[in-house]
Amino acid sequence: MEHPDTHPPRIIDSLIDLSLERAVPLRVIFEITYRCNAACDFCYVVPGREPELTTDECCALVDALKAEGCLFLTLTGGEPLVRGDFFEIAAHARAAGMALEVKTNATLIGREAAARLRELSVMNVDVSLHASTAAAHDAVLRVPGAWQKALDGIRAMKAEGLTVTVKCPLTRDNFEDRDAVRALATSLGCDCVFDLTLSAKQDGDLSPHGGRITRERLEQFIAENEDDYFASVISCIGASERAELREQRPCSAGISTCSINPYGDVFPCVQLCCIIGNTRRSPFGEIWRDSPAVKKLRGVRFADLKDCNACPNVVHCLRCPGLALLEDGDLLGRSTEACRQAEAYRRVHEQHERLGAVS
Amino acid sequence: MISLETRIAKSPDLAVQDHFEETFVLNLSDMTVHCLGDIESGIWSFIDGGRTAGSILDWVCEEYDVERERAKRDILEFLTDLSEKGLVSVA
Repeated sequence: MEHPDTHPPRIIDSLIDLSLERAVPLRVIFEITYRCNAACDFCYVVPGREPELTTDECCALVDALKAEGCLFLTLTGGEPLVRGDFFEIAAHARAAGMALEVKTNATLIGREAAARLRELSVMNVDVSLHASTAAAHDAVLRVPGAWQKALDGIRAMKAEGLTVTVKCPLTRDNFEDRDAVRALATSLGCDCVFDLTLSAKQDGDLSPHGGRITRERLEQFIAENEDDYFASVISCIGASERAELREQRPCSAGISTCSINPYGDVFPCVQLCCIIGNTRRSPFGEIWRDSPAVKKLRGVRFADLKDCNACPNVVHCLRCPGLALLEDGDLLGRSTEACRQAEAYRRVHEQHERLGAVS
Repeated sequence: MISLETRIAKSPDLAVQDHFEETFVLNLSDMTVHCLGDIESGIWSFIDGGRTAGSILDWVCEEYDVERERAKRDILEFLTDLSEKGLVSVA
């Protein structure tokens, strides 16, 4: 694989770098509702009891995000289209000049909704698909007919010329179905991305971990798909560049990205369950600039990660500080799942190197 | 071909980030990203669908105190470039 430095710098990279340098929330995930018309066992969402942000509150928040430099807004949930004002919020964001992405189970997308998404020039729609068969997918969502509705929704969006990506959390139950899921996505004209990480629920409930694939299957999947995943890029980093990692920020959470839940709670990212403010109590701009928690987060460097920067697997690691905090209790400590995956990436990478040396 | 009488409008399929000194314009129809510098950003903000290239020229000359003929060539070239990239429509 080519080293990323051989590519000329892209304008988007300049924008990303500026956003990181000046802590501008370029990309925001807005969970507009935690209501959902499905009930997946491993869903990380834990709905609250407060009333959700009203339409006016959502639109005002969109304006505040725009004022702080947000360009990419992802509308998600729960199931975002459960909200009757979904298109009003989306249109407001587009009128403000933002680029939209939507994450959905697509069961509520018919021809009309697909046409409206197209009118809004939605960049990409991520559709959750858990299996290649109706029986298996519907069993995950616990909704009879969900699979067929999802496929109908995908077809309607593709007919409108929208970019649709199938997102499939890889679990013990659907691992053997992965090739068929990918083939189904391809037949629908969609890319297919598998998510290897089943997160704990937002309240720390670890029950989703029961669905995680085994280490052996993780290695098998990585070996089958090594070129597609980020870790294969980071593996290209040489010894001299590893030393520079220490001075770098571990991720962009709270720096150039954040997430907001349906109740106005602001988080550094959707995985990092540390509230930095609430938009019903303080303006977003104030939260983004002045929150003590986010200021502390922005000061974190790789060197502060107690066990990580000396770890031999660091160049294969996709460590998420949110996962480390949620599942292991320490923002700066080990993430058990990241360690497990990094070890798998390293073993596969070394095996490929050995095979390459032999040939 | 764009003349001073041509009305200029921004294309509808755009996302714009003007938080920094430059303006970043994302063309959602082809997913290209464009960066406009200082004066270009000023011109971009002046385009409202009703103004002509000539009124943009008038504004630039007043705002930046530049020589008119040179500015005319540069602005028409810039607007033509924006049009070719699908960032503006002309009428």
